[in-house]
Amino acid sequence: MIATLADILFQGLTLGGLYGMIGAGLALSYGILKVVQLAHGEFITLGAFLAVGAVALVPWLPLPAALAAAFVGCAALGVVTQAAAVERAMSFRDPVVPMLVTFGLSIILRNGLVETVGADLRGLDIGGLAQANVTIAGLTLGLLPLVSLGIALVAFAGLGLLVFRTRLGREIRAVSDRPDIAALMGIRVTHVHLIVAGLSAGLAAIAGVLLAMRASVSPFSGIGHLLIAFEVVVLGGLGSIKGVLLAGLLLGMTQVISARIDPNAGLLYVHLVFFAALVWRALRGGLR
Amino acid sequence: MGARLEITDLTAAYGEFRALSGLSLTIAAGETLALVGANGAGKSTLMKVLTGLMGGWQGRVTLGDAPLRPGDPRAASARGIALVPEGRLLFDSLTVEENLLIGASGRRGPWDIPAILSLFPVLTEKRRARPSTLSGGQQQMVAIGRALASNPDVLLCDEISLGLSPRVVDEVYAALARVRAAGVTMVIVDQDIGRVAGRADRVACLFKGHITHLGPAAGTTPASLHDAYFGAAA
Repeated sequence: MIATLADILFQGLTLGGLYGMIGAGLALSYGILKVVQLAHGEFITLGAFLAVGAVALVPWLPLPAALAAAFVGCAALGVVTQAAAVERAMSFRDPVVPMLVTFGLSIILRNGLVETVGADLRGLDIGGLAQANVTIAGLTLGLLPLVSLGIALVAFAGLGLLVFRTRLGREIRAVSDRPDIAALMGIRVTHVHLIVAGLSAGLAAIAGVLLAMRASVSPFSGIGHLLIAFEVVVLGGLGSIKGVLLAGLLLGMTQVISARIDPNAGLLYVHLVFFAALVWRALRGGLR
Repeated sequence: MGARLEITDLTAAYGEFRALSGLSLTIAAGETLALVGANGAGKSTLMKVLTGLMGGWQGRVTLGDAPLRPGDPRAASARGIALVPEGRLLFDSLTVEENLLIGASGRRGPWDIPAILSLFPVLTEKRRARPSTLSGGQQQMVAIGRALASNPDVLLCDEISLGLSPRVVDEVYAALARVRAAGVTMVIVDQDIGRVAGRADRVACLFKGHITHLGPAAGTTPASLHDAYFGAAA
């Protein structure tokens, strides 16, 4: 019984960490840039395919290097698309304009992926890691989910340190609060926007790699990832790093528990918990 | 430490509405100018022009020997212009101390964090607090401290006493007196003519974008500015 509970807890934490990562980049984009990044799901998928491609090119490539390749590739594309299109769209008063631009970007990325790698499902070849186990306090845990959880927690810790403990983090928060006054303080607002866009896409890439480590992804997976990201971000509080991690853990735990009760339910209970949380917040006046 | 500010034939508009019309004004280095006028007179627009928050204006604004670049707040900050904005506009995602640190843009000078906290000792115990948890007076002190942290040559204070109790306003002006003594050029916008005139070298009154009065602060009273304030002197 205790072993079963511990297993549920571990699986829930692992999936929750992944869901938190899926939402982190979107939370950053919305919280700081005030842009609903509709291409976020495609950045996740692209991150997965970059890692898959890197490992296909260099089969002995260690996981951290594949992660770094995906992060750098997506971050660079995030910076370029921000500079080329989204930044200008943000200058319009209407928030629908940047939303439409990121929607267009999502279509370009998705179809670009299909053209480049085809429509097949792909997974990240992680060798023996997938089958390896470790025993901790008498419990046998899969090494892959443990590594996945570790990567997610390190990424969240790093993001928290960056945002709350560095000068750049202060500038990011100041730009988020009042971009015009931040400029008066000598802060390069556009520069900060580019960094945040790159970081957001880079975090999406990490989520993509974690996804590709545990399951296959296709160029069309983005919309499903975006839905989870929205649920995590809305539940966790728009722009809250800690809230996003907690929301991810809640939804992950929900899915693992519900899968034990109703194995065919898929994401049904995750969506129901999200819906119930929204109703509860609406009743408490927490939705504006 | 202070710098000379020269404004020549400045015109600024919001669409069809002309907020400043051919305004010319020179503020000497180290001088404190009280800027008064009714709502819509153009005071805040002048602040926006000087800080680069508003571009697209015509005329010439010179700080020291070089002209200011229109609509470039970063350049204005680098040149030594700092603003205490109307309504404070603090960063609430940052603590009080972080608000002060973010103001430090790299210009060297006497206003480091310890100096600012000695100017406003009450902020010392609030260093870790969010600005929104502070009283209006304490928020104004943070806003002044944030502006001073950039070690400005010119300090612009917009509606400095708005929403503050008389006792707190006295505290704020006492602090500004120390800033003035340090030689910083200051422009103070305040609706309380009697109070601001008593702390300035000269008083300028705006009405519908024009200067309707410019003279020594000594002896200036609300009554003596009545015509200029309501446009009868224009």
